[in-house]
Amino acid sequence: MSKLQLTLYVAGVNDEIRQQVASLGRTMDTEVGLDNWVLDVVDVLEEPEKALQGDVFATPTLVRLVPLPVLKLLGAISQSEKILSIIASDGTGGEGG
Amino acid sequence: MSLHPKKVQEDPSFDKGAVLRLFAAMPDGMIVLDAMGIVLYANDSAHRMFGGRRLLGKNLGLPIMAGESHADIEVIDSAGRVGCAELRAATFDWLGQPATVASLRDITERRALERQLALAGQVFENAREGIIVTRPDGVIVSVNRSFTTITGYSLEEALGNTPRLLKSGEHDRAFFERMWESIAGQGFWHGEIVNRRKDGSLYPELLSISRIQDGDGQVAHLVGIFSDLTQHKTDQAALEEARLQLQQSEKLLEEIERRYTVANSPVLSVVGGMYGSAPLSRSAAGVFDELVHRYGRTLELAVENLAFKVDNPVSDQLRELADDLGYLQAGARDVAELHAQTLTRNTKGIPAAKAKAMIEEGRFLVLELMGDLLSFYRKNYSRVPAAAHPERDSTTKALHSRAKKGST
Repeated sequence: MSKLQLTLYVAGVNDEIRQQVASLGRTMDTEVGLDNWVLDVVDVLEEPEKALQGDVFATPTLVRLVPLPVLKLLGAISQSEKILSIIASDGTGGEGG
Repeated sequence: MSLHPKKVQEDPSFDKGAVLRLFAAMPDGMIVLDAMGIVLYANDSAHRMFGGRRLLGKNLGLPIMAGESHADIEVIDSAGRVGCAELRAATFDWLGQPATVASLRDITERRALERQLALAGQVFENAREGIIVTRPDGVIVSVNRSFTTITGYSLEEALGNTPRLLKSGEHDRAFFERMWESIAGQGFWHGEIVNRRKDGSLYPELLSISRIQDGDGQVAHLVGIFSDLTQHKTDQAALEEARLQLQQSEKLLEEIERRYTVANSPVLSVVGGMYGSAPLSRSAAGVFDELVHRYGRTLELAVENLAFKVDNPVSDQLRELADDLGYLQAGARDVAELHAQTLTRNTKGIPAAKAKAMIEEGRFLVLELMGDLLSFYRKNYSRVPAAAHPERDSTTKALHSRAKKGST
């Protein structure tokens, strides 16, 4: 199984974002395994060109680059369990109200 | 937003054109996404929010909500600028395939206003000045923390009351009539007023009252901002005392100089000669400033000696300073000015008690410095009457040692 590669695009890194990333990391460690995932964080306020190059339209957006297909999740990144259930799957299962 | 997917599906009149016209008319951004988050449709409002970025066929991402509610997101336009939006989503059937319709409400301005309000709230609460907001009839509707700190009245005690709560009885009716005339005529009043704290004590405050008008030009509120002048008044009194002591010290110095500079002595020719020339502070401003700095340090050390019972070499430093003053051919007025400038500089912004100690110790310090300076002149001009030496030495040293004893 290839390592899960994720990029999180945020607009400004604050305590709330740090906590969400930490929470996501803990869930990944537990559910995916300690060495089976990597997560990069891109602050679009610092590097807006990366958002434009990566076709990222809004933040927070979590992008699953590997495994394919590329999958993007937009919105409440704090919902770690919900996010994991989607990115660990084949990539469909968007949410409605 | 109210979407009724089931009704749309069941309604025989539903057709794609009708839905698109409905979406197109909406001020919110409306985006239809397929099961992977690919944009199938976006209305004009959505394109505007993304600054004209091409959306159709792009992967926006699958919306993730917190609970059943919405998510706050930031949208990125074609220039990389970020705006704020409220995202809501609902699943429905779009032309026979499962889809998500996402609505985006632009809340950039609302967020900016919220930030401004939060900032204004913080300024209000954390201002060192007391702030009191009343209705036009004078009833208090809000006060800040400093109001409570200064007056002793809590927010709850102040609410519903009027500022007469603080009335001291120190001002007559005419005073308040003038105040209200100014507020009615010019929209504000500014001045000093004496008020009474909850504990009954009186305090002076500097008060500004402003009229706040609503959009129709009607008076909506009155805002009073005040600072407690108690410490300021104390400082003013201490400064006035310092100024008087300085005057006395200067007179004393001139008297000492007059005693020791006898007619035809070389000292007179040097020191006395200075009266006709420019003061050191002007003729050698840079050097004088450095002397002020050094004398200030010595003064600090002298106060430390008193406060902490230590033995900083104050007298040695004064002698060195006097030697330098002597080489510069300084006179009594130069020493007095040095002393005055140093006190002004060193007592600024320090507690009143420390300023007082510095002023008192300074009186003896300046006498010792003057004595050292005269000693310098005497040493370098040996014809000064020898009889004067023991008297001068014993006078200044006795003065300084008395100062130390007196303060212990």
